[in-house]
Amino acid sequence: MVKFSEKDGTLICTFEGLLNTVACNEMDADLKEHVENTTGDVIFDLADTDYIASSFLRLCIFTAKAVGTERFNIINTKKEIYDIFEMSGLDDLIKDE
Amino acid sequence: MKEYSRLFDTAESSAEDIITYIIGVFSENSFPAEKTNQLRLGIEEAVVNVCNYAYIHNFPVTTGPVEINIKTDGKVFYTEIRDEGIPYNPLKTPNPDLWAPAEEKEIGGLGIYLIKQMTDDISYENDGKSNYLRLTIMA
Repeated sequence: MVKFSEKDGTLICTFEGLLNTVACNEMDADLKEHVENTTGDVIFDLADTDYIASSFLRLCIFTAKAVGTERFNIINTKKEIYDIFEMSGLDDLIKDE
Repeated sequence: MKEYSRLFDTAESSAEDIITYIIGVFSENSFPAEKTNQLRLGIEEAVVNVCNYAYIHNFPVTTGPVEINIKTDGKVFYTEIRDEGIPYNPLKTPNPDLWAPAEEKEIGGLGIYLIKQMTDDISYENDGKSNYLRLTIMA
């Protein structure tokens, strides 16, 4: 569901599968703890994510508030998922090339 | 027009059980597979709201019935979600401020906003006993 790794001080959160309400509730505490304890940048890698619910958008907002948008990047979004971020006014967080 | 109906009780069924039932009915009626995630998003937000909040004030029994009624001709899908919880019209929830920077955005309101975006029509009614949230989704 989510795996954490660190590279050059950046926390990389790699998500996979369906990030529905149940999945987001399960990862909520763990994800927030990692985000709050990092002093570097945070990356959410969505390459293997097929679906997001609003619960995941709330986790993104939490992370943006916790570390600031300058230090928070979302990468590798599929079009369908990008569309949801755009619809929610959160597409600024996506830093795909 | 085919009609489907199932009564769930949130004491025994999870939101995911209800969502799975609804998606199953849509799939059975040739709803396009490529639109399933869009469907899931709209349905999930609506069903989770009911399961999490409809009976939250009925302490100590914070569960209750949720009835799903679906009518479809394979092109238009009318889905009604009925609960007997506290009257709540989600359509009165203001839309979130989409233009606010991410770190200033409010956490609430996104779910309802996404239901509105993902459905072709949405209405709410309370008849004094039940809440009815009706979603129209085009295939």
